[in-house]
Amino acid sequence: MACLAAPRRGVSERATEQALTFLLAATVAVGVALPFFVHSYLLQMASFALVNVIVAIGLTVLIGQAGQVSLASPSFVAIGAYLVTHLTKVLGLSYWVAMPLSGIGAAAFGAVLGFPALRVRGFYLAIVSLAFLQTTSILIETLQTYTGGVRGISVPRPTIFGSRLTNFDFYFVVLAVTVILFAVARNVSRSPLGRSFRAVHASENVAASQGADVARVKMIAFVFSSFYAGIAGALFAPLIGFIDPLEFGLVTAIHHIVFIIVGGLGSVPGAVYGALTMGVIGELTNGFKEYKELIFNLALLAVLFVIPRGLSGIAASLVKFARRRRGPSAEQTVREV
Amino acid sequence: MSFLSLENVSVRFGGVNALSEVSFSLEPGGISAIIGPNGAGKTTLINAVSGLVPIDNGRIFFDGAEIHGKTAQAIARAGLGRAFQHAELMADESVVENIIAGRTLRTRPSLLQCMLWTPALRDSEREARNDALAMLEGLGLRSVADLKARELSYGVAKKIDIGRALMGAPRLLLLDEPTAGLSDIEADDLIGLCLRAVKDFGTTLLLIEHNLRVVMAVSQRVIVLDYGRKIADGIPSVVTADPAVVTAYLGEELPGA
Repeated sequence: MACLAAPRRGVSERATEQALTFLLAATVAVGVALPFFVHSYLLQMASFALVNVIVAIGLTVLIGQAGQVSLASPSFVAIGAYLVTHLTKVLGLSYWVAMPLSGIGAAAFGAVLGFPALRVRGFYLAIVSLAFLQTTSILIETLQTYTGGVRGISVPRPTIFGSRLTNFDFYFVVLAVTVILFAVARNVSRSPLGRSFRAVHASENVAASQGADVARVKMIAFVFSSFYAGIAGALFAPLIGFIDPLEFGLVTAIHHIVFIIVGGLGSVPGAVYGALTMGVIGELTNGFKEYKELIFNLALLAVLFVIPRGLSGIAASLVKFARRRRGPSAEQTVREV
Repeated sequence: MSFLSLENVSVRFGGVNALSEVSFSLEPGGISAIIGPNGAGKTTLINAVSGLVPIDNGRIFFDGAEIHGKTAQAIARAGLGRAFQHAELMADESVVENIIAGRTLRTRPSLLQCMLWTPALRDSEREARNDALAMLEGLGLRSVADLKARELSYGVAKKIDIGRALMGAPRLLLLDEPTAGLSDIEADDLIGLCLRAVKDFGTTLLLIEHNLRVVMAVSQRVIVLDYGRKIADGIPSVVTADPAVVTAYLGEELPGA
């Protein structure tokens, strides 16, 4: 029996991989086709959902894989958003240069939050990140010359060859960036770095005893995650056209956490489907106004109680179920051979 | 210069002297054991040597270099590996991933290289995977490669932990109570693994053990700790006949004593 288990698992692992690849390809296909079927407003909502996907991917790597609890994700989205605004509006940089630069700028601030993480962990790190979140909010409000303070600031739509991007055009930009960043995050997850993230998460002492540079690993996780949030911010700002500090507070942080928990902590595809699912739920519950947050949070509780390992957990269970059902036939094949 | 040497090493936790002025040195090759009753300071000693617990006094040398005060990762990279009393695997990862970690955690792959999944990275990952599978084959555990670490029995998890440590090609491997919690059959199996590690990998082993039967069977040298002090040091048959050791183990039957 035991010797049969190994090859059967190998096969089903490959089947899972294939199923996931198919699902992802289908999702991208739907994403590409979408603009030709929906009107401009829904398209903009879809763009917002993709922006959230980018944040969620970065955050699931940081929290789910590296185990560094952070509530400061909106801060890095804000840094990306205000940086891209300043770089394009005041310094007159092309959006296509300013966008990656804003991601890098946010990543640099990510290193700032990474430093305390070298000393504190778990609950205490969460509190430090909360302080970081509040500090950013206050800075946005005080640095009025750059940020417009509480009144906010308008953000121009980027242009390409002199013509202003429409919702239709911009959606494809966001989609392309999302697909690229997804592929990059998957690479990192399966690379030795991703393994280091998970090892540090499991036990810092044990990882260090295998020679892992724990401080470096944590720092990279923070920088990586903030880069994603920064890029998301740099896409978000011109997409919505106007930003103010209210966008980047604790409520947004909770939304981000909900995305990755619904998706299944640490799973990059999970982050995608978590953010998309909650995006759709958010859009459907828009009519409920003040009850929207309630529904959002009830969804979180439901997930934690019913499917604690999120959407990716469901996928894993389905595979297990399929394997159990396929089990006897696989044994039979072996016996026949 | 000897391979591993401790000079008057002391570790205090608050008012407790976990280790007091412990000195000994090891030559490369073979298996040595540290024994002693519960609370004698055995695990503290291993933690101090591997850099997880700071020492308050004394010096520790490994292969001619001072290692006390260095980080655990620096010590691991210098070729000093360790396994843990409770295996401490990544529970949600597959066994083969856990084994590979023993090789790759010490590498410092660049973020850019990992983001792009470069061909060089792909090759080194494939090689690490093949080596990990070969390691599992050697342990006789090829069949559990794709199981999650949390699905393993305690005894198998401990073997995987040692396999993971061996993937780092340590010159000295510290094992913290490798047979604790195992049945006699599992314990013998694990000891067989230790003997193979010494033979096949040329690793020097220093093990902490509670199980005197195991110690007598495999070690060429025994160091006895009691209340943080070294009370005996020598070949097993002599040490276990030492009256001080018998007193420390009072109530426990010493094989060969």
